[in-house]
Amino acid sequence: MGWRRRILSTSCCTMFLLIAVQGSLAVDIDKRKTLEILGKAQTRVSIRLQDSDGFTQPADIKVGDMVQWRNLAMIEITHDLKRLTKELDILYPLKVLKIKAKYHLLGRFMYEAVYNVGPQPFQDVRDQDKENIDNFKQAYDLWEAYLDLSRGPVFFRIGRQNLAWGETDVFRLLDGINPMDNTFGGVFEDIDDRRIPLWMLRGSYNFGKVGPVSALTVEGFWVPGNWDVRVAPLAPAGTAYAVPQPEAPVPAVTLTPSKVMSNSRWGVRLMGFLFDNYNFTLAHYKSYLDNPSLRLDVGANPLDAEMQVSYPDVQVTGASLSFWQKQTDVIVRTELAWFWDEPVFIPEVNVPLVPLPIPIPGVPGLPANGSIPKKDVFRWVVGLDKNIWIRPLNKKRTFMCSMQYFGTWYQDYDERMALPAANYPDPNHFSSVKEVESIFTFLMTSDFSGGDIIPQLVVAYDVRGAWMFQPSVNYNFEPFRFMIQYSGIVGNMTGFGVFRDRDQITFILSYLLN
Amino acid sequence: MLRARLLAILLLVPSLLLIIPQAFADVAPGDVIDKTNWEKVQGMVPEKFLEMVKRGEFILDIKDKEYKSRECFPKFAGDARVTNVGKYDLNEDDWIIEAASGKPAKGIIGLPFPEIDPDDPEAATKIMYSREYVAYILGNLRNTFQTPFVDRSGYLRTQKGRMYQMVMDGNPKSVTEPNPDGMIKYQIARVTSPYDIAGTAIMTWRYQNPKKEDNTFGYVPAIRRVRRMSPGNRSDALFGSDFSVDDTSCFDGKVTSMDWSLVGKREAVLPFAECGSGRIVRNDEGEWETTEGVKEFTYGYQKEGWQGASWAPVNWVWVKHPAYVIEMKAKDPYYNYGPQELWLDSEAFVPAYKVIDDKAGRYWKMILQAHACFESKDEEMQLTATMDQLAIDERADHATIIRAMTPDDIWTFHAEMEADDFSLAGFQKFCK
Repeated sequence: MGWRRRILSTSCCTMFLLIAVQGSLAVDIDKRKTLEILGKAQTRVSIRLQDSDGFTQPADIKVGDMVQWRNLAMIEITHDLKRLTKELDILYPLKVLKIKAKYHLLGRFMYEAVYNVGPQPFQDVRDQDKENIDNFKQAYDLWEAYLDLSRGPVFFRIGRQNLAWGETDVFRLLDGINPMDNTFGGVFEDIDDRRIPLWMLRGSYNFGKVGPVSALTVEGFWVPGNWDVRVAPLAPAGTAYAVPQPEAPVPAVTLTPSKVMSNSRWGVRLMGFLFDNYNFTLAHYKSYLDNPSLRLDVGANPLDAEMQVSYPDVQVTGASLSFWQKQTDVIVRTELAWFWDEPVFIPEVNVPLVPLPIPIPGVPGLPANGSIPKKDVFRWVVGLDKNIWIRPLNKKRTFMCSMQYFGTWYQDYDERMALPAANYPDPNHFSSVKEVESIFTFLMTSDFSGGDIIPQLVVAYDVRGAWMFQPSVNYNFEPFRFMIQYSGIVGNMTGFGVFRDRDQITFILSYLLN
Repeated sequence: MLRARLLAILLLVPSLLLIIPQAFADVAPGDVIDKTNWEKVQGMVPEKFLEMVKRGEFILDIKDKEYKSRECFPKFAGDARVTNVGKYDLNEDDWIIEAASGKPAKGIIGLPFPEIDPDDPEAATKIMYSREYVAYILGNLRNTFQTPFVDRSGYLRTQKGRMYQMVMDGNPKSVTEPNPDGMIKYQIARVTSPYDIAGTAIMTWRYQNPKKEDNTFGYVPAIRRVRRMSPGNRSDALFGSDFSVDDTSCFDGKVTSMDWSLVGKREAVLPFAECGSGRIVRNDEGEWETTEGVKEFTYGYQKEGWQGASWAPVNWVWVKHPAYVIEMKAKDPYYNYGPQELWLDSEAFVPAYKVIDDKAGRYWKMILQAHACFESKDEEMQLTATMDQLAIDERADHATIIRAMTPDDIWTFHAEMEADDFSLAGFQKFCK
């Protein structure tokens, strides 16, 4: 199959870029600029800088192998209906009710070529699970589609959209409403690229000034469960960013939430601006965690055992506060979140094994029915943002520096708690979870050459002994954007350390339709 | 008698020494100033700008205006130029008070300090308040804009954006708006293109209280969140350009954020958009708009055979006009700039040049701005407004142009707006 498919795929990608370039229209449909059309075409190639290690599949991916050739096109339309409201009879109700309206559409076209033209092991993965991989490697979606309606203090956004609450970057606390797609680039991708929009009704009411609080606002959202219960997808086994797992002795069955009203996501938050300096929010919401829960289900016969992968819902109560500290010129961001009944992984409970009546070497026991234990979990973050001069590096622009500390504390901590990723080479050994977990992140960026060259450094450190480094450089050459990014993880098999054998260098070329 | 003569001579000599450089420098309509005759504008433009002319980067086409700057205001502001004389003063916090009662002024219409006494120690601050109120006289503002980035070799790229400004003072309508938060203005600037930064937005709340710093919020599409920004960020690059937030309109910061001192009033050569007035029309909502017939500016990179700087405007007009020269220094120790010098049209109170030094006092950037008079056909409405602006970072050899009103970028003055759009929730309506 090889060369024909490669030629076809390469031709498709080239054509795609050429069409995009040909279509480089500067689109201003009307003089009032009520209709904006933007778009981008992007191709990104990632090259692995390490051999596959441990339980990572495919095991024979080597240094220099391509692990990603992701082609993406996005077309975005935003249309303010203000003028049309006056001119079209069909919009007469909006005119009479003095409602401002605007709609936004975002079409997304994605094609991942590595399973067609990449290293043979990835092509083999596709051959072995063709239907699944073919669904995984390409998508054509109406990615966002919503209508904004507002009148005075009332605002509604109806449709497929993203909603981010909270104050954190890199990792999420209160920002857990939309599921994340970690399948195509894992932790190496920007959060916003991974967010999956949901069909949602979102509304807010601005009370204005109430006592010492300015812009006091209540905001709510509802994702009807019988309409949209999407959860974070799992990367198919053998794909480039799948979690390393040993060969499962029992089949795995994924149970996603059923489309019923009781599975709705919902939430409400109160926000305001206190004493002209303190942004605060109080929030409560129900959503689904990105990391699924595992449970061994044996049924009547141990030979029918299966690993159930499910997504229990979780409710989160939290608050955030951010403010400017005058003496140090630092923006301080804080966030607290209490996760009620969050599923955890205790191997002896989730995937129990019953000792054999007669010990057999190599067989630790017989599978038994497991359950999903739950704990209340308290998470918090403190972030500091400051622009500073580092004149030896950049005489003309400041560096934006952002540091965050993420903490996690498990109530009713159980020492048997572990990460649901087995430690190589023992498939029954899992990294433990500590009662208090801590991660630090650091981001620094500036720009050079009049904004044409934008370097950025992201570092994350899990105090359990894992580091992630992600330096990158963006170069603007209108209408193109070039980016080179290194992503590397070193340290223990804990948290993001699970992906420590996936170091890569990524080349991204984007064409912007402005 | 002899003593009196000696005293007179002693006083006269230094005065002459000050005047001599300008005595040789003079221009007349029809002059074209370039590197061959730059001496004609010596002392009439900032020294650093003169060097650009000397190097042949700028060519100044000297013309005469067909209107008087001080007359290009709406009737209410024209009347206030008379009635506001002596009506207001400043308190120890540099805030405007009613001269008669000493109480903080409320509902100021027109320029608070239409006449400036150069001997007044507060003259510079009063000039800057009048400058600020020139913008408030325009009422609420809604517009689109384009910002081309240019380097020595030519055009690089363009950002486009929208701006919304709601003012709470300075004109008869604004002073009647409910203002429980004690604001003087709200402002939102949002990038609409290119795609990679489209949606990035900055919202500013400026308080009447002189002791309260601006509150600035940024929306970054990559994190889909509204973030607090430090007031010090107002001197950081605006959307990656050569302008900082405070550099727009030469100075868009809070008057009380700076220490001001008047260097003097002098005959200067100032940039204007055109000799005559531009046209504004009333739309069906009663707002005032620029038209597609607005003068379009050409820059060096757009003109075949142009020998000057690629960012130099080719068809701005340069007019001999009295100007105030003011020195300004930020009170905030984290502000990125050191001393700055501002040159303003002394009749319209609109800045024309800003010379920016770094914290060490070394020259860094130059901002230029052309303003224009707009009037309706029936002359019912007249407005003075800023048109194109140019920021030149000489260290980076790079410039950014803010192309304000163009045939494609209609500006709406006295626009209908709601304060709700500038709340935290309202800001999100402008965001993804």
